Amino acid sequence: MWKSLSIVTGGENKRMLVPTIWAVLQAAWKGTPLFFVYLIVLELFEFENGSPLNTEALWLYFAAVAVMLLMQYGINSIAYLKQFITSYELVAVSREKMGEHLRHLPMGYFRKNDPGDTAALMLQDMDKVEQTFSHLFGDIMGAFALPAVMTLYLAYTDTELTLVLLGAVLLSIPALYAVNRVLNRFSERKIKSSNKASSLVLEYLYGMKTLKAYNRTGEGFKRLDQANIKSRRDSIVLEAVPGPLIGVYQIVIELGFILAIIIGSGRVIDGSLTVSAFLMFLILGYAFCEPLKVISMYLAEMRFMNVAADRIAGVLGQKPLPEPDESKVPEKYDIEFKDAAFSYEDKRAIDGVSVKLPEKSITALVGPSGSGKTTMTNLIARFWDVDSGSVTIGGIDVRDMHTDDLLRLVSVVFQDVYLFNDTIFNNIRIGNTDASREQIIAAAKAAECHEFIEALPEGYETMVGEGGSTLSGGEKQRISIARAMLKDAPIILLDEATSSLDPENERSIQAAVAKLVVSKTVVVIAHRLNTISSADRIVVLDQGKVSEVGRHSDLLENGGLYAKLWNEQTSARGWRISARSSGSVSE
Amino acid sequence: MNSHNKNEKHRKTGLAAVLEISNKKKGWLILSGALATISEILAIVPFVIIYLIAGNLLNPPVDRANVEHLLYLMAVMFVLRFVFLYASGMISHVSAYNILYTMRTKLAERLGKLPMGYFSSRTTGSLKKMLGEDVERIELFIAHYIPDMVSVTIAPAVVLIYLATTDWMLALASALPIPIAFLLWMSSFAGDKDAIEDKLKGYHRTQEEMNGTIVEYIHGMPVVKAFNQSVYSFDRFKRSVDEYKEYCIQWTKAFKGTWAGFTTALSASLLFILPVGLWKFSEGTLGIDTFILFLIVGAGVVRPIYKAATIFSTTKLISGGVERINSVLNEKEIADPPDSAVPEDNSVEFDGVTFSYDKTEVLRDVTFRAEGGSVTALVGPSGAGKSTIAQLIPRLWDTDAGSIKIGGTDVRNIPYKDLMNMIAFVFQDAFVFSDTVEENILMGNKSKTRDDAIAAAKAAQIHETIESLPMGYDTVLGDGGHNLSGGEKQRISIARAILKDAPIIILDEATAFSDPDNESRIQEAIGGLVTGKTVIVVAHRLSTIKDADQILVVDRGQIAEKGTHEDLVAAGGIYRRMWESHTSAQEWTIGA
Repeated sequence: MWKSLSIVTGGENKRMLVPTIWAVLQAAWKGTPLFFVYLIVLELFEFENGSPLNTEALWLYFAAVAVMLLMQYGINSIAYLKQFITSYELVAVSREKMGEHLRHLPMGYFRKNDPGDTAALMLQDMDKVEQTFSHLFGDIMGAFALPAVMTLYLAYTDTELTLVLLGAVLLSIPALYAVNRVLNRFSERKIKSSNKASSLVLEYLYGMKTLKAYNRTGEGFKRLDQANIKSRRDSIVLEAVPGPLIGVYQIVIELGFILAIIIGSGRVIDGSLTVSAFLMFLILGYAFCEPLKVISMYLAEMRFMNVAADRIAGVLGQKPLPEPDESKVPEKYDIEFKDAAFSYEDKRAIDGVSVKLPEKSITALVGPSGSGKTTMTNLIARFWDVDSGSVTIGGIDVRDMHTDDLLRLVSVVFQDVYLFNDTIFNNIRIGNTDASREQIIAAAKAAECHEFIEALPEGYETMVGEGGSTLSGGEKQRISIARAMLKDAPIILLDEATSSLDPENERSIQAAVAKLVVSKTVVVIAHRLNTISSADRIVVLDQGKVSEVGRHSDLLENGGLYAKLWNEQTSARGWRISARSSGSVSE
Repeated sequence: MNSHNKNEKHRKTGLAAVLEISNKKKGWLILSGALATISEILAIVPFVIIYLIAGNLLNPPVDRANVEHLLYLMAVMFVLRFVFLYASGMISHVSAYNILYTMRTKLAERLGKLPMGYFSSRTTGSLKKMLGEDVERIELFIAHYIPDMVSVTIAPAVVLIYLATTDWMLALASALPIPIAFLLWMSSFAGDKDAIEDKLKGYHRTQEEMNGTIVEYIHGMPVVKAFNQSVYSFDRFKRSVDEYKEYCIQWTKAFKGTWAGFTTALSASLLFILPVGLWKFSEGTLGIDTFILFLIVGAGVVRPIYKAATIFSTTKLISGGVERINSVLNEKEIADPPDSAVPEDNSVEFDGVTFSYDKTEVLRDVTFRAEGGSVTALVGPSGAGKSTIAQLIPRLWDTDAGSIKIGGTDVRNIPYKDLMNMIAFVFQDAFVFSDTVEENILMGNKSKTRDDAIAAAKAAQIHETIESLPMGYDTVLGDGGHNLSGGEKQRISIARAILKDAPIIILDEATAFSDPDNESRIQEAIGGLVTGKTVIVVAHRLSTIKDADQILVVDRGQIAEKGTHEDLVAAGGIYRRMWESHTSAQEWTIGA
């Protein structure tokens, strides 16, 4: 628990100190009325043994009980406030820390991980941790504190019997340990199988159109059913297996209690223990056992928090890219790869790439899918760091620049455009938050956005939905070009869209791109070769290596990979569907 | 408990809905509740035994055999109590997980029968959450809350009745904290209703805002980082987290008195037992053993009710999920016709078709006919409705007005399965399942063999790629398996369609992926697919459909022009303009 706690608080466990003290006090205080009950019972026995009834003392004890309960109210309020407020504060701190951490992670993290999972981590998982602390924490503290206080009372009534009880507690510890082990093991299994089931649900939903087209919905998608069956079995096993162990743990403690009664009643009979003391022992002894028994139940509830904490720790353990102590800023913007290699996990993406991309010129990266084009642009913007070799801008290694400085130099026009749930105006402004309204409109005009924006009901103030769902793909791309225009960085990384757009949209985007790239260092990932046939330099990649470099005409003459791709594509363009020719390749 | 009638009623609606969804598991749940109650009552037995032992010790001579006897009984009770608790828990959990399983199966089945329109208006994430978390939460309700509710209410009642048989006045005093605790609880809601409502609304609003901001913060991080704006977006994020925290704290503070009062009241039985007991004792109407019984048992009898408060406050969470689940199950599915009709040929005909997504009209009065074995191309600007026309044919949606006929029969009169068997669809976004290559091509078609899959793969120009995979046709694709490129996935989906050998082929921008090496092969693959079929093709690159038998130009939901390439170019309308843009776009180069 303390490990999970420090993950959540980021090492600020100290802040839990005050709530802990109050939780212990709250639990321990619950035992105070019992002390006066004990005194009352003693008085009653005195009376049974023939003394006159000490009414004054009895009412005094009653008054003490009332005062104790009143104080209990006060303690409960304070403990409640301390626990809840501290948990809310800690979770807020924790969320902020996580947010701060995420912001420094390499872009690669966001490309590799499902953003939905990361969001769930910051929402549901954090909530789980918060609830454990606000709701369960006091109870758990109480389960330890109350028996501890009880031990003092018990020892006051009789040492021998108390030792018997403590002995039983000692004996029960291995069972408790076993419960914990078993819980961890089987809950891991359950989580795995329910994750598997939920990834199959996703597959089912994403593939719905296809499944419908092939009559495979419902029962037809057997793998989901199998996963649900497995998840059901693992869930039931998780409930069934630890149960008997919890039973063993609880029964050991209870048998200790019964043993104490057997010994005690024997001693009452032979007169070495008074009936009143024994009776008190019975009452307090039971109050001692109950909370201890409940601890095993809390273990089961705690496991959810532990799982959440592990996941949070997993993200916090991701290393941000190292920042240089002193940032060097280049004065020129030519880019050079020197024997650069990079792998995604164990999959080699580029290997031994050495190539120069001259300043203020257009370099096109071409090659079959998976040849490493996108990886190269990702390395320039330092979304990842090279495994070996280097990438330099104006002679300065990108790793010697502050990320902020580096990103100031680079504009990236992505294929997948993300729009914020904000106005169009603010969505463009993200390119440069200092820009004036005039500058923003000028950028929109240059990116061929102005017209369609003006046609929207509220123009630039129109809100676009989460992920920008209300705009078409072509419109979103132009917004992202407008952002890049506004940023006006000397280096442009451009990923040409692969999905086809209608001819008019395509022409607008082309016009926008043409304005964006004027006198910049441009790196373009090209999918359609004719687009870049007049580029200053074409780098042809094949399986992560540079296979050719040159101008269009030189490369065609070489008769290598580029020439092959070019021929395939020109033949593709001449291809057409018709019933008559049954889709033959013509031209 | 009367004061909670409203809540209880609400809970029952939720539970009734859950039980209806999951058939009749009621009997098991009642048994589980009964066992939990017995176990809860057995928890009091040790106290009673202590009381009996005390009575024995107080009245010498002590009957040793009797005391031993009682102790055996106590040990047996401890074991029995645990056995009942475990049995109750296992029964409730097994039925809960069975209910969850049934519910998930039903939901998956129902989702498979809903029109595609249902999916386009919802995020996949929210549906996943429903099948995952919303359903999972019901476990908590069935397996824990039902037995807890039963035991928490019935067990104290039984014990109080037992106590009342020994001394009714003291029993009444022991029970007094219950109404007090609930009055305190209710009073916090009865106070300034508007202020509470405001606080609650503020809480929900800030929570939603924080959720939205966090989701956006993470999803937008690549953009934010690329534009160096992470400080700005972090500020927004931080503000929303802080604001939510503030509301939580306010809410907590507002509830301080209620919570402390409630918990204190439930442990305050002694406050009522002591004066009554002392008075009766001094009057001589109460024996010392009975008094002690109440001091021990009576003081703890109402404590379990503490659980009830937590149960009430969490049932709300579940009812939201149950509502979402219910709404899916009540969603109208695509109905099969009462009498099935068989199409006469493979022609496709639209007759005055009008269709809207939500409230936006997408198609208006679309009429055309595609002869069996001919190629019809749909072209036009993005958002004009081309894909919608294509997707209406296999009834991914149903039309609002007008009809779509295949071979003279309205598609709504063809049984859904038969309709699906007539049509092969190649989508723009080819989807590959996390299954073997072979399964991905066969798609569960039991009448086809591996050889058929290989023949289809060859025709789709993907056989060589498959052979080069580590396990060939047994290679598992997708998540956690082998990743294919977009173009390769597209060819797998074409192989599927070839294997299906349906008379009608719909290509919805099937050539979208345009890596040069893939493009020509995808197109060859399509060549293998379309021979002799009725083909409906949605295309942007006009050169690919130049030779179609019929080109339909779709503009703002209507068919603006219709004819062959030559006719349309000569007509000088929208198509001609598009053709000119197309040829100039093809010639455009960066940096020229």
